[in-house]
Amino acid sequence: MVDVPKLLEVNELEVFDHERRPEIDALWKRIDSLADVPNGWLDEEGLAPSPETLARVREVLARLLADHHEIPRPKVFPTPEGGLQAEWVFDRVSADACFQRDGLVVCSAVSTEHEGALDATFEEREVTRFDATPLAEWLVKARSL
Amino acid sequence: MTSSRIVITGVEELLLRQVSPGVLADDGEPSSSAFAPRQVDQGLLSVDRSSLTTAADAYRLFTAPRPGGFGAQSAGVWALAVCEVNGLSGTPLRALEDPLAATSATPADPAHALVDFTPYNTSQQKKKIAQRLKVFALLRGRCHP
Repeated sequence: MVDVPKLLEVNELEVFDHERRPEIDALWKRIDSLADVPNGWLDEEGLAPSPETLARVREVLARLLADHHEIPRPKVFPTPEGGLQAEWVFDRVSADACFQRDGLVVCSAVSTEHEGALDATFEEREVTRFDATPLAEWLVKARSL
Repeated sequence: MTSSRIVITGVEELLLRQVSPGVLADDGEPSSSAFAPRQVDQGLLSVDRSSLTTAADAYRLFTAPRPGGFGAQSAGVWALAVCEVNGLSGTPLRALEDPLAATSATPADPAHALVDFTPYNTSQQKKKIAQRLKVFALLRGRCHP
């Protein structure tokens, strides 16, 4: 089996005609809008997302969508701790990936059909702008929870 | 103290939840965090009972300026059935009556109730419950406006 190099770096997605370009643009527009979230955004509580977290989530989620066509675009929200949370709902399953300020990605999936849950925590080096495969694999498992 | 409050048992009754604009995605989907109590809530999630008010009236009371209303921000009302809350997946989660009397600053809210998260000690446990509640709320859709 021949290793096929990745064709697109995240930054190149802005200029290449990737088939998911409209989704990635919409995702980036959402993340960019969260740069305006102030401290105290949640009824006086809530830290603003850090610029580093915003940049990291922008890149990692773009990589996730570009390389893993089976993963739909997530909804992205600020967290009160100054991180960002990507959320997916697959029918009766809710899957959240929380990008913390310290670089960890803490993932939690549950179903309304049973008590089972699927958790994972990824180090900063495991889920990057160059490779989001561990997160994609976790989401595929979560989807069939 | 939640032990003296009466558990709501009408399984078809809806519990109306006001969602802060800060936890709404660009397409109007709420984050799972909208269905978990925040730190200031001391483990108790505020809702209103559909047997005693409507989604529109609850929204009006929540957002109207004080002292006629609570002067709070809401992006809309989502709903959970009592049967989806009480005993969710074998958990000790319960909906409790909590009518509020008028004060000099705020009006009475006889329909006010609480979803009791206090049996859960960790934020991860509360998060998983909130994820499940979000799925139920999404299946029902926004009730108002």
